[in-house]
Amino acid sequence: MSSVESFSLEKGRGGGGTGLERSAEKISLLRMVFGCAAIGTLLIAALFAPWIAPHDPTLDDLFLINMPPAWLNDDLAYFGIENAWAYPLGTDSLGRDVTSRLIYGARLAVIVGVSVACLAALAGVILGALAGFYGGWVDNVISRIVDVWLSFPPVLLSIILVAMLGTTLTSVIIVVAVIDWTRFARVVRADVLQQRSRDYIDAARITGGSDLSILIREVLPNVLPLLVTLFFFEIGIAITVETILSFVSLSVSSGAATWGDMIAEGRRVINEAWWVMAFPVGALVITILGLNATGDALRFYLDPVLRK
Amino acid sequence: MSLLQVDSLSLGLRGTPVLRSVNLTIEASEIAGVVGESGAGKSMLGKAILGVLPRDVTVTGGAIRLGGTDLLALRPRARRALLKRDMALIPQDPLSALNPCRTISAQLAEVLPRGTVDAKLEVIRWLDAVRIPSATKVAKSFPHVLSGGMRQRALIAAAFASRPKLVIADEPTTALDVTVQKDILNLIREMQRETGVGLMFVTHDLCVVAKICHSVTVMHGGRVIEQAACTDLINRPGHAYSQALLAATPRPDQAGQGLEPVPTALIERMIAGAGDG
Amino acid sequence: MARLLVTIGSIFLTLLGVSVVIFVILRLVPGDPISMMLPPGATDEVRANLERLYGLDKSIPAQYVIWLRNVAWLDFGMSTQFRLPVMEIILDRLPATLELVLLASLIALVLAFAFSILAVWLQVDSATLAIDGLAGLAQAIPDFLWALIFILAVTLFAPMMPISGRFDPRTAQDFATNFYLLESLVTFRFDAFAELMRYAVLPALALSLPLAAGITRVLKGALEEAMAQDYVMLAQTKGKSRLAIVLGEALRNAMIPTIALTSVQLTFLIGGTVLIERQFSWPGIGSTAISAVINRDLPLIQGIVLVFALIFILINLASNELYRAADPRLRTER
Ligand SMILES: Nc1ncnc2c1ncn2[C@@H]1O[C@H](COP(=O)(O)OP(=O)(O)O)[C@@H](O)[C@H]1O
Ligand SMILES: [Mg+2]
Repeated sequence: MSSVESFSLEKGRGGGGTGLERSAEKISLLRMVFGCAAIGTLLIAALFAPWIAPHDPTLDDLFLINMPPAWLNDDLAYFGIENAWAYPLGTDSLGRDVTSRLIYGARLAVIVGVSVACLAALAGVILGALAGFYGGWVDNVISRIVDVWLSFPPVLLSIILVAMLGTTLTSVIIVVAVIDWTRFARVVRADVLQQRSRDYIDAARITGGSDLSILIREVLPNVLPLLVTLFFFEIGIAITVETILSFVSLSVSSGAATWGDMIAEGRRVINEAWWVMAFPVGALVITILGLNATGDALRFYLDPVLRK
Repeated sequence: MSLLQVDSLSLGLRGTPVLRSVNLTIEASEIAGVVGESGAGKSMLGKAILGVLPRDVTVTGGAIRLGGTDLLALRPRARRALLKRDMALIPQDPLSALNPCRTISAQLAEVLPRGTVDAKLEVIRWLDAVRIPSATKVAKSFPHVLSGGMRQRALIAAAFASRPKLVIADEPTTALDVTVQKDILNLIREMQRETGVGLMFVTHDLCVVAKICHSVTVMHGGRVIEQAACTDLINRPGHAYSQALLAATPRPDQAGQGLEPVPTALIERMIAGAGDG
Repeated sequence: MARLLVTIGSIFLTLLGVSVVIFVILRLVPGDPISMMLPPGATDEVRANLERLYGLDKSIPAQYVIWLRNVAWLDFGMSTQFRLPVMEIILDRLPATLELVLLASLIALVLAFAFSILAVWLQVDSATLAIDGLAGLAQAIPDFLWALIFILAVTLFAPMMPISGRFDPRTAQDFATNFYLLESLVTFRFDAFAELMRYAVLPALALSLPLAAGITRVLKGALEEAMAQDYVMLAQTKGKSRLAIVLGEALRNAMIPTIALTSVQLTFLIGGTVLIERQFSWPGIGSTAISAVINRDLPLIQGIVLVFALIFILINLASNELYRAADPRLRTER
């Protein structure tokens, strides 16, 4: 989670005059296409896992231990199978099919990522909006809490919290959300503070809107593009943190088909079977890059100021 | 031989012309005024002569000679050396033309000619020369403690301290308070007289031109409209655009008159007419 | 002077807040350290004795007060896992973490400055796009994943490269301190230094990449902005070359926004050591922290969390001072 904080919030580039701007535009479009493809694949794998996966992801087979990916598998007789492509990405140290585990892992990744992002965004937006809109002691209290939050190494904090709540899917989701709400809160607070000082908020007050309706009608639409980007980043962060927790054997009970469990297992047997770790790492990298690209692009298309 | 000779210089900004075949001659010890409305290409002309054009603006034709040397034919290193030795700029906006992170003395000392023995002393001498009070203290300080007028004085000192042959002043008083404009103008004229440099004085104010320049070049839309000795132009403007420009300028002897801007359509018609006949 | 007192006061307040939060969270952790220390079949009496020894028989507020009083005397209690004073363990392992952090920051700074200055100096579209792309990639992928990618790459393509530990225990050298890298440098044992670097470079690189990318983005943007200023044009008329202008005029101004960002990102880097140390079996306080959590070693966790919080706070202070020093407009206002 540490450096995931540093996800770029760089402004998109609009218009096109110089060669640099035109290439940037082209690259931005390519990133959007790549991002949608990556997210689409992830969603399809997650939704249709039982139909796509060739095998049961948790089924051990002692005769198929550490079998290489199909295109490297030149000893079919040893494993006693006829078609290497029955196990396209090989098997792990318990003989489980890497392909199937990867596909089912996408399912958990989507569940964790989306739930965490929703919870963190909800909590962060509410608290950040309260702090920014009311100011005074409300702001002081919330900002102090954010300060203390930021003085903990986030990875260590999440490990401690998961140890406390138990290693279930729900607790992992809650923990990551509890740690990451500050990201949303800070952005929303800053933006609300800025918007509040503008005239049209006063105008809305004078024409007699309630505080809540002013917030929802006038302020939130302005923060929305940034929130959408953060939301996509947060999905990637949550998936990474789940992997990290699995890696230190603190997530969803080990043996389940998650990318984190595969990576932890793969790290142990890396000298005998590199593919056990390589494919989930690759899936994770592509997922994160895809989420980033889509978040950036969406912000660009949603934000009238940036687009101009 | 003239000090500076610009021969049918053309500049282009990615295809669109910025300057069209501009000619300009400046003699040693002369103050040559360049006037025109904002966007006429005055600054671009100055930058082209100095060789500090923005990246996407290129020279598309013509020649620039300084004391006989063809500047455009020089290699970058030789051009920089010549620029450092023989030319200097007094910029338009003194607030942004000094590096906020470097002391005044550092920014002045680096222009002193090669072989200056006591740079510190020389810097203070120059600050005194442009009448900056408590020069010793100012030399050690950073630009932000100085007012706009004081910064422009420091920049004038920097321009003349390199002992150049040609100084280009690009609207040096435009960004300043009206109250200090006259002082700065007088200072520049005085420094020019003492050092005998050729001075290209860019302005949009004919009034200023009338006061200090020997010759005037009137520019519009990247073209030279009229070139004449200063007194001639003020008294007998040859071109309709110059007449309009002159009419729009409040003259010191006719205070309160004029000041109406020249309608663009009218200008265009006048220029077109000039081209025809 | 007043400013100094206020900052010291706020350091103590934040540390106090951190210590309360961590103390309360830890007392709620299920599973108790005493059971982990006891041999199977120990009597209740032995257990009660141990609980008293570690002060676990009192109420949580009482425990906190006792702990705080001891901390005032720099006594962080005994680790239940190692049965050693927490202070001793931290002092033993902190040097390894500090060296890793230092090396990673150094790599990040060198990479970031080299690439930003290169991009702005060259001013070539293709180079600028390539550097932007690299920075985007380096920043999007978290350090944890970079570490895994390096481990994979080493296993597949360079099996001679070590991916575990700080040095080869078979060729262990004598060091007077735990700052092996620094010590080997200052005592001119360059072959030992090279050997140690082989172990340190991968974890340090994994830590440094996201930071390097973050600094590159801000620094490059700030440099580009500075290069568009009038004082740069004036510097050109003084006959300076583009490189001289980038280094001599623009860089100082670009440093100001860069310092502010770097301090925030540096705390992420330090937080990242927790995992990176675990991934590369690096014997610092980060990997110690994870094993302390897994073994419910409460005093050790408290101590390490406080050390991290202190480091975070000190970095923020240092960056504030640097920021003031870098910007003359702030310096004289004091
Ligand atoms: N940095 C720049 N890059 C590209 N074009 C410019 C730049 N600055 C000015 N121009 C264009 O060049 C033309 C001449 O500008 P300039 O020489 O600054 O006018 P003046 O100094 O007479 O007001 C204008 O049409 C303007 O649009
Ligand atoms: Mg101009």
